[in-house]
Amino acid sequence: MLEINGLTKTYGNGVRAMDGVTLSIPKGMFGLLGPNGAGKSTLMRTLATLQYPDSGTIQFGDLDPIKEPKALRATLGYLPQDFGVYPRMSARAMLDHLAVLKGITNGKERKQVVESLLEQTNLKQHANKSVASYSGGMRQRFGIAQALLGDPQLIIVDEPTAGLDPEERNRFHNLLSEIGENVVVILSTHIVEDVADLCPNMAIMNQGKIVAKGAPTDLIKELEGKVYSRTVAKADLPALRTQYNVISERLVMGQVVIRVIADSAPDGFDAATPDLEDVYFATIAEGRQAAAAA
Amino acid sequence: MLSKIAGFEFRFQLLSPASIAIFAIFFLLVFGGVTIDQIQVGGGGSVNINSPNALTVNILIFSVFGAIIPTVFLSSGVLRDFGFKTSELFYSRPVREFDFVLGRFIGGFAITAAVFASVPLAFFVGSLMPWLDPELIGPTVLWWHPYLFAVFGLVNMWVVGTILFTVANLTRSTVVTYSAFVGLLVLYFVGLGLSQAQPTLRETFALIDPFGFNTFNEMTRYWTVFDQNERVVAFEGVLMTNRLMWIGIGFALLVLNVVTFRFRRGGGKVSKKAAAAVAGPTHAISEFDLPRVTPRLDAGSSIAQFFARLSFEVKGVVMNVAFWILLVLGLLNTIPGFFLGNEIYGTANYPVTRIMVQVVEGAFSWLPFVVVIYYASEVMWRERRFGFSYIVDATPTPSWVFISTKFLALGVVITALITVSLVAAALSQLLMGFDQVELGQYAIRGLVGMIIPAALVAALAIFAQVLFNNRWLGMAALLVYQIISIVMGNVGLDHNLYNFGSAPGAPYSDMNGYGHFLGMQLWFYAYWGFWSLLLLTLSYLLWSRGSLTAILRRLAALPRGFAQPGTAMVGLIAIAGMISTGGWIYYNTNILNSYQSSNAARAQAAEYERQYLHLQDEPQPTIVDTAYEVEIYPSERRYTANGHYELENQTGETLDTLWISYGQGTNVLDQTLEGGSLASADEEFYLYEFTMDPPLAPGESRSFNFQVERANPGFRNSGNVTTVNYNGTFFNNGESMAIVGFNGNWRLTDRQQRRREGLDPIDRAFPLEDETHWYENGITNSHYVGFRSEVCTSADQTAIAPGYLEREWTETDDQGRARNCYEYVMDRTILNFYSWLSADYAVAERETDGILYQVFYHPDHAWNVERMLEAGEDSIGYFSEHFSPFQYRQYRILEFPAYATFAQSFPNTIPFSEGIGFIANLSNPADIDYVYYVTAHEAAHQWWAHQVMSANVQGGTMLVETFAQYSALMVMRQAYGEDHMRRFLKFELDSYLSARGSESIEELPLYRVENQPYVHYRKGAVIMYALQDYVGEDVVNRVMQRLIDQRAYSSDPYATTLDFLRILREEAGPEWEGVIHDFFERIVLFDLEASSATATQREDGRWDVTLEIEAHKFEADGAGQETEEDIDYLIDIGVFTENLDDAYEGSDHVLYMEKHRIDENTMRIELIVDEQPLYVGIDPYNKLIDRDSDDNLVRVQIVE
Repeated sequence: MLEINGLTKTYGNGVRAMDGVTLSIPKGMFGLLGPNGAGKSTLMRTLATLQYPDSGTIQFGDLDPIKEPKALRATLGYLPQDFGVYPRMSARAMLDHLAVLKGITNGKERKQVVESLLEQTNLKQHANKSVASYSGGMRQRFGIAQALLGDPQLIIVDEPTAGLDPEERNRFHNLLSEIGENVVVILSTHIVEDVADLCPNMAIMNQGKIVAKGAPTDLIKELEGKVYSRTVAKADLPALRTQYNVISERLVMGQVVIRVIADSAPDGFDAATPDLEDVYFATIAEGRQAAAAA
Repeated sequence: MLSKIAGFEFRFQLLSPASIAIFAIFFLLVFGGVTIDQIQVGGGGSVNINSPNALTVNILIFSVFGAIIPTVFLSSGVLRDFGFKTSELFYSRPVREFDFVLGRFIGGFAITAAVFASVPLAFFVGSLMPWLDPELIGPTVLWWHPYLFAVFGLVNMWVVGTILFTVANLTRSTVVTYSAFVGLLVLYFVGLGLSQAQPTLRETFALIDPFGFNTFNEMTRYWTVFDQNERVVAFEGVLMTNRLMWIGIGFALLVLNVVTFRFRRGGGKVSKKAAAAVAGPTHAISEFDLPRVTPRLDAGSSIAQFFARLSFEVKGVVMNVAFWILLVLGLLNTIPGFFLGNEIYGTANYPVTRIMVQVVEGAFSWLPFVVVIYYASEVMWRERRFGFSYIVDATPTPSWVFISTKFLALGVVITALITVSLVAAALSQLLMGFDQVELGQYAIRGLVGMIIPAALVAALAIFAQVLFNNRWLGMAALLVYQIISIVMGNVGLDHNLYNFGSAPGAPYSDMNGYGHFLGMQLWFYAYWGFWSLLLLTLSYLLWSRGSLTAILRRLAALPRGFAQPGTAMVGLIAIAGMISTGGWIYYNTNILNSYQSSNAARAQAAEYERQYLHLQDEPQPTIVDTAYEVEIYPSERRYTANGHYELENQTGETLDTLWISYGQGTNVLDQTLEGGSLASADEEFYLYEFTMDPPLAPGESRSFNFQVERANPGFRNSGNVTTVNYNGTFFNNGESMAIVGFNGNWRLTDRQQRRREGLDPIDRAFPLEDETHWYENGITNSHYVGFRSEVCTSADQTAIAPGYLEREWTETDDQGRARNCYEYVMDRTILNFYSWLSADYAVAERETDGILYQVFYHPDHAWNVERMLEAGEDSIGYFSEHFSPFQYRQYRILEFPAYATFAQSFPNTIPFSEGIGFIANLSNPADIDYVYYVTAHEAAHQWWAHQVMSANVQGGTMLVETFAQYSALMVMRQAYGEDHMRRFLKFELDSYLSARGSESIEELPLYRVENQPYVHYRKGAVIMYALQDYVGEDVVNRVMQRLIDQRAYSSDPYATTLDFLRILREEAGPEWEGVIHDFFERIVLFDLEASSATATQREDGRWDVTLEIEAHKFEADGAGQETEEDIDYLIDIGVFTENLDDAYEGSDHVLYMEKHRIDENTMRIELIVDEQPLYVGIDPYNKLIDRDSDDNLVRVQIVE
């Protein structure tokens, strides 16, 4: 559905935000995972026609968003990574205004759409309150409401769950999965669970490059039998780091647990069931090693 | 900790783009001002470019505009944390509040000081530049720079800085801080305006002025050129009080900041959020039903989006406190002017709509510009500022919708700002009981004169914001643009076709309405309107929609943008409109009319002088008789004339060549010389040479006939005020009638301009003793001539020329239009200088003692017509009785449009501007009746100029203007009394003393005045009033009589001040020798002060009064350097029961008034008066030239 080919973008300060990004994204939820600064937002903005790539092509159905941004915008829903709001403007008024900008100019239809979205996103009872007074979760729901205006075929949500409490996040995931059935939804995030919970397809981006892509289950499968974990003392960490390919270190009930990748179980390590997080860390760690080697 | 924070603040900002940019801008501005001699700040004339006065004025002016510096560096120190959302981070760190606030302030202030140091630095560097005129460079005294920088620059930065720092700290809002900055400036300019309109408030303003501008003006009010070059204001008196007070206020504010500052307040927004709505469904997983409405994207939806955006943008600016603050500021900026503006001699005008609009225009000369620049950045960056731009930018709304609605929102701000003030103006008219409110004039002049120009700037400002992708750069670009356009105008690049948004001036007149100006201005605005359309089109094509994109990439996308049919069409319309309106303008300004930049005009004048100056001394025949047939076509702004001269050879030699000149722009249709033929013509200089064949023998006469036309086709780039108007034509024979010989009007007189053209400076006048010039006058090349003129005008108008109406008839011209025709004949010879007028007049008249008094006036301006008739009667009566008989049977005043504000006396004919008396409000008897004064002054010229004409040497204007002043004063005193004269003469004295500092060459004693208005009008009035007070009115009038006896109608020779002084000395006698010498032949100033006075009641009920006085006398040289000398003068001592400021004739307030001999610097004077005194004074009526005329009176202390 969405074909991305060889996108590159270098900023004025020399940062390569996209370095030959090539992806093919089918209908449904697509997760784009990557650490902060990986270039996810640049890619999202480029797909949302808010930025031009230095080179490369994008094709969405029959549309070329680089050449015809307006045509893509007509079918786009975009929730940016971080958005503010106008002071003293209610959610209803704001949605109504954005609906006009999206091209829903028939007053009656617009009213219906706005009311329905307010209802679906559970904002109805606060629709007349200023968006500025909303909590983080409500604000994100408002964000998704506006992204859904005008029946978009491509929905781009950039880091939508950052800062949400678990319940809000659940609710948000539900919303996304509902809408992700018939259209392309790209979910950019650095939170592995978001992708694990929602996305049949995904890619991992690091340092401007797509370093892994596929279905989460396939990616996890590749790590089967290669992940081992062990509880260690903090003092031993430096030595272990040089000795093994450590992909993650974390505290579990106050004790340090490290996970490593190895073909067979190293001394004192237990075999662990790989999960998406291991995939993510392993991929990122590879990138780090590659960078260090270079 | 304190030093760390301050140091961080300093380093953080020192090398920031903002500080470098502001430093550079101020440096360049000052440097340009110092080194480009078309721009002179605080210099000019003979004041040195690097004088301490120029340095002070530079520092003062730039500290007012430099108020932006602390706004940026001090308030941003506070606001930055909120802007970058780092406040919580910062405020949670273990920094003491005290250290934090003070540190930020100190760091910010240090950077402010460093940046403002650009001003004295640029001044200093600029004054070293080698191309400056060395005659205008004085010695550089280094300490002046730091001293003035500290006293004015630093203190002003401190004042503004502490105020804005406080506002920023208390409100935490950029908008409010910026509003406070604009508000400070507006309030400041209002105060400055008030202090100029109300001289009585000067001292108060000097004390409280936060920038010290009024303080400086007050301390240097009477500084001469010498003082301005040599002296620097001392840190004492009112300056010290003012500065210390403001430093103190700043400290108090700083303490307030430290005391009230709490980090917690940084979390204010969070606490608001804490109360936010918390909501959500009870179940996390629920059905979701997507609404399915497919958007429509067509022309109809674009229009709907346009209106949605328009309403959104307009609400965005209107629903903001800054907008309302701005409207209030706009009102504050204008309302005082409605009530106080436009006074002449302290007397107000009727608030006619013309004046009210003029006040609004004056008040809004720069404010809309600032507002537009600010709001352009505000609307263009609003979405980004609120973090909402990505959402909006990703919608399918076309870009033109966003840009056009932002532009219109700016239009709403401008329109609201100006409309509110115009409505206030109309209401003020009603409040003042004036009901001729011309709503149409408000609407049209408001729109064309103020709203359209600001809207054009708005388009440019939006374009700059788009182009630079940076809010501050976009704003700075407009400022720099503004400066460049000022400089361009100054260096002669002044065509409106390339100065964005500019159009020729369009003055308004009640008589002539919009005249020909409105249509002309609309052409220019249409032209710039098309430009703006193109700029706005480019703006939406180049706009960084989404992420900011480098300009090159956006430019590269332009062709694709223009490939869209709609955009292509708009672009084509804009370009076609630009070309067609621009072409039409060019056709008018450069083909129908000739366009000359000011530099080209200067070069041409210099060329004329180089080629033809020798003609000045070439013997030429003299005009002895003139007759004209003049046809005025008001609706075409055109006249034609046939002139017939009788030329006589009054030289002792035979003449074979006649030189004829015409004023620039005359169409010479035909010219014939009896017994002669055209030998050469220089059409560039309107100069024609005739060979006289046979040559003209001494005493022989010959006739010269010419036919000329003054057409004003289309319009010009500038100087569209023409002498012929739809209603209100007034021109004199200098404009297009033939001139015999060299046309002296072309000569450059300004010394600097001459130097630049490589011409030697010329004297302003020939030396008084140069007898060769005693046989010519300074006005024309001829002497006294016969005059008659037929003049025809359109059927709705009356045409007038000097002389008496001989016949009146109507004609039909060849196009079938009816014409009113008149023939005026003068029954005695007059100076070869006369005028023609034509307008739709009402006439008031009365006849007294065989003299017909008439006022021809615009029918709406009847207020003071009777007063003018009375003043005419009183004046002619007094002068006929005391000087000589009136030589005419008629005295006519004729109103002309307010494009100029003067009255001018021609024989029995006085054109009088609508702006200086016809609309004066004389209803308050306490006000000076300047209508009466001007009328009397012009009446006096029927004697002084038209009976006694002065020779073309120094002192010439004293005989004409000073004597007219004297004559008017005598008539005024007769009508209004001594106390009124005191108020009037204080104005004159103040004008004289203030103007001395602007002298461009040197001040001369009155009898050698070289056409210096401040001397011959202002000083002359004071001196002549004192003279008659000392030697007696009857003695002075006898001198006048004898002078007229000896020199009336004399060109052989004309009168000189030597004649006057000779007769005066004979009449006054040797006892007044000292006074006459001081008054006329020297520049003498006094400093008289009543230090204190006490009074005690005596046994017999009368009062003993003791007065302590201080008296000094100085002689000044031409540059104004004063030398004290011993005083020995008879000076008035007076005792009064009232303050003379409030006294009127006939209120019996004078207990004692005698001249005392004052011959020591401090004296005690003891008197006995009959009643309890309230005020005592030395020279209480301000008859002498006193450097401080306000300390002559002192309130009496009653001692038991």
